[in-house]
Amino acid sequence: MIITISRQLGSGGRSASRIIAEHYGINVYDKKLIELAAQESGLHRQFFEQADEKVSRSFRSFLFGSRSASGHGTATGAGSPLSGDALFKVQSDVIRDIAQREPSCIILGRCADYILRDVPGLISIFITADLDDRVRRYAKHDKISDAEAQSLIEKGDARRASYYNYYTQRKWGDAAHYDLCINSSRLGIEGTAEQIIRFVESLSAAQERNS
Amino acid sequence: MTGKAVPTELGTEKISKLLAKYAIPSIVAMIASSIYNIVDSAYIGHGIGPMALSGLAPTFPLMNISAAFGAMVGVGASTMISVRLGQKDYRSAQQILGNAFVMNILVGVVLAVVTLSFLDPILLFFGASENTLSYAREYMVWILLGNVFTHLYFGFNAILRSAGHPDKAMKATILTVVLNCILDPLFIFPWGLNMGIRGAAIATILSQCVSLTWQMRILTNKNELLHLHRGIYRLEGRIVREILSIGISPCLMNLAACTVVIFINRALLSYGDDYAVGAFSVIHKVSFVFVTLVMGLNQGMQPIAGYNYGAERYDRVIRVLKLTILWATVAMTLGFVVCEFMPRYAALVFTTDEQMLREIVRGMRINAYIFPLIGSQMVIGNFFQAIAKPWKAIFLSLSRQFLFLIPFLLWFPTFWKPALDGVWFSMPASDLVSCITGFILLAVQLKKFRKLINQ
Repeated sequence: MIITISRQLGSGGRSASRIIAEHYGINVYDKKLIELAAQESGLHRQFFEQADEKVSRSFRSFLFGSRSASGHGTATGAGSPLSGDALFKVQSDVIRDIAQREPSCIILGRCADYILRDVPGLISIFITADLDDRVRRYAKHDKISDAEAQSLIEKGDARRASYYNYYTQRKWGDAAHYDLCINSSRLGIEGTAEQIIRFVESLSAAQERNS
Repeated sequence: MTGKAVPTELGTEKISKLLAKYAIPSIVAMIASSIYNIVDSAYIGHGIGPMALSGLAPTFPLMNISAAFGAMVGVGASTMISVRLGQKDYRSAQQILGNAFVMNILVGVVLAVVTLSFLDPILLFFGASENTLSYAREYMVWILLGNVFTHLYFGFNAILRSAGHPDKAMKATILTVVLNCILDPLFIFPWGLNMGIRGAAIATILSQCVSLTWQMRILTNKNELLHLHRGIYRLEGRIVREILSIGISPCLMNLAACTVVIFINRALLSYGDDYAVGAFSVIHKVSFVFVTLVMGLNQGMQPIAGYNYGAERYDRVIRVLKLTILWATVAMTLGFVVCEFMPRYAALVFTTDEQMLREIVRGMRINAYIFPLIGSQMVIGNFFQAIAKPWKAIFLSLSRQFLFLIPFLLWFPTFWKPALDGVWFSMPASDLVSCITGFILLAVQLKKFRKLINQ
């Protein structure tokens, strides 16, 4: 079973996914995807890090089009391999590869729920949390003030949303796209992970009954 | 579209082989468009006369403005479609196709209506005079009546390229050019339909319509992964916004280029006469032949330089840069030789009128002084684009045709004797300054590469 987990910044999605992975003894793919994409393409990881879960939305790129530099309009259609679009394609190929190789794993973010939408039995989860909790967790983790944490969270979520919306034509966090949306402020991170595991169990039980 | 996003051969294959493989298709496409550019004017110049050539001059910036808005939709839509097809998301790709279709029609109609309502003042502002206005108007009215088809034709071509049919897009381009070459004389000359300059416009639109019909046949074929069908034409705010936000920057760059031509036309008209304006449009077309060769080379260089930079193979980055600069210099030196040593022959393609010939020869010689250096300047600009340094790329691209040219254009005629020569000289002067700027930026970058290589 492949589980994709999208999460708001500071919602504890990563910790929850680690608990789930430990429970099943499977891998979590997060930053590791960048390493794999770099290996696969031969490009340095720095370019994937720069493009990681963000679409350039600055005034400069609006005006001067670092995005339209991807070269789709040219005669050969061969554009810059360093454009966000090309890097996204590399990363999504890596994600599809993993899904094929590993029958069970967890993939965090990076539009994986969309990229793997045709994989049978895919379980997609979205984790949220109350803003206060997210700010507190983020501030503690990065040792910064609450105000700083809040502004970083807001910017980071906006970046993730526009990345997701640009590459998928869906809306990030729209409940319609996920099998389960859960607020980690209610049950805590461990409780949330347990709840997700229970959900997965019920799903496989239902599948067994059907087959 | 199922291939690898980044072909790893870019990091291993021989540089010269790669450059040939990636640049030659682009160069062929570019040559087709510059042939079209020349043929239209050549028939008009010979069939109607030198004043008709001057009448064409103010129509080019206007047509280019229209094309800039067309490219905004075309580039935006094809970029998005390509991303969706890369994910095998055919439903979304269809929707974008449908939205782009409607947007092309809307933009085409709105532009045509707006420009048709203010056509005379626009043409006068863009460099027409009382002597040439009637030609400019007669040509432009028909071009604008067919504006929607022009937009759809170019829009579909961009989409075909990103939908895995670059060969068909290329065939459509060649078909249009060949048809136009055949239809032009038939419509213009007295032995044919004798429609004069209007005939040239109608022939252009007709050729595009024929290609458009063929494109529509491909894009309505239900076996195509991407095809037009019911239910995709409703404009969606998200798609429209995304298309525009991607397409706005190429649009602005094109608009900057049009603005410069307007400035030049006006300067030539106020310090010279209609002949000077007509001469510039001829010179522009002749230079464009060589410039497009460099643009084709650049398109071929981009993926190679970009990949090897990303893979930290700086030795290969430098090698592809050097090879592209070499070929670009060859192309522009060829242009230099034509413009300096046989300008009369080049001018005879467009006209036999003695006064016009004299004007063209003079301008062409001055304009081409720095040509052998310009090739490398253009390559350097695109090189920065390829290695993801868009700031420098944009600066270099604007510097030659905008940032330096406009001040020189306004300043030189105030002290130059005769003033008209000041206008002509502003062009090589701006070329020279922007070449120096390019070389400095490149030298700094090369130093960085050497350091990285030695590490």
